[in-house]
Amino acid sequence: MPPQAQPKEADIVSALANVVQGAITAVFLSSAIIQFIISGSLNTLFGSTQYLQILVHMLLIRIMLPTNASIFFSGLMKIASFDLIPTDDMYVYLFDIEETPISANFENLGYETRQFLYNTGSLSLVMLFFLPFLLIIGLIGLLPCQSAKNWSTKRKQSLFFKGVFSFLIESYMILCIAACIGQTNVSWKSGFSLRALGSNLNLFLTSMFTLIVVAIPIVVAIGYYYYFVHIVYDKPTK
Amino acid sequence: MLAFSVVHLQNYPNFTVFSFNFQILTMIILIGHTEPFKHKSKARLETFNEINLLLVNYHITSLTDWVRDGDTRNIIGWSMIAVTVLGILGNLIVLAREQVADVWLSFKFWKHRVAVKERITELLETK
Repeated sequence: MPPQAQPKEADIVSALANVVQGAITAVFLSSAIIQFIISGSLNTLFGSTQYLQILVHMLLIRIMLPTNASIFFSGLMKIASFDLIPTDDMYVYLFDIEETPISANFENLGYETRQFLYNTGSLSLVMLFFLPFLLIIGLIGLLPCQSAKNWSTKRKQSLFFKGVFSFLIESYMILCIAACIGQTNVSWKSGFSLRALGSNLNLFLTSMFTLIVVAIPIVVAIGYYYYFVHIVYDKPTK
Repeated sequence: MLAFSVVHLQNYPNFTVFSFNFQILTMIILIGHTEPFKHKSKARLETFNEINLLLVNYHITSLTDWVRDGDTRNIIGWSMIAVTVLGILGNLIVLAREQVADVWLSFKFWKHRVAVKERITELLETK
């Protein structure tokens, strides 16, 4: 049983957590706005975001944190969950989801259920709206017509396309975690109730995204191999 | 790998910690060996982040059932907070510095463009 933090100690830790949260929000937001205005690169921001995500996801291990660390990291987890649009109530109402998190740490980080759709939050909405656009643009580029290829290349170079694509790559980790959590609760329910619909949807999405998250590194590795072997090394030297 | 170990190895925290350790060390070796970043500053920041995660991971190792004394765990908790704050501070400083440099560069570019435009109009007027 860990010792309970003294009230003074708890106050210091929560004040520190608030300062860190405020600093992260201020710097990340200002960085995003400035880079958007000057059409700059968001690479460093994405690098820092990824660091923060890995850091808080490391604490999902089933260990008993001391009270001071627990207070500090629960504040950090809230800021690292990056749920921009609150969708939780909507999904619970739509699919009659059972709220049984894997552990308290998962609940703190925003993985309150074992359903894929609920755990991905607003990311599912982003994917639902923008992924078809990205796929259509990519498929049009494969057509054997020069003007279609030019149109596709132009769209791919736009800031919007790059932004959405980077966002999806950055959220790869959340997709992985949500898919793994979904795997612990896959079952097929017959019937037409909302609970059956939610369960079957979870089965479908978990299976699909498990395949996708396994396929992405393989596709990227093959793509890099092709790029280096056939494009970089085969280039005629002057 | 991280997601799998965190979710499916919930009952084996020691294995999860070892798996994290292995992944972070692999990343550090990869960054140092293959140099995947165009800029050295980016590679330095990534290495800093990975080393920071490794330090946090060592703290997590100490917080498993191996250490049971409450006071020691409390001290480890403070140390963990300090390492995390240091890591976040490092990232924020690099980000803020980059923003200031980018804004300054854009301002200089804009000033140069205005000067060139003025010079062109001057030349056209004298002709």
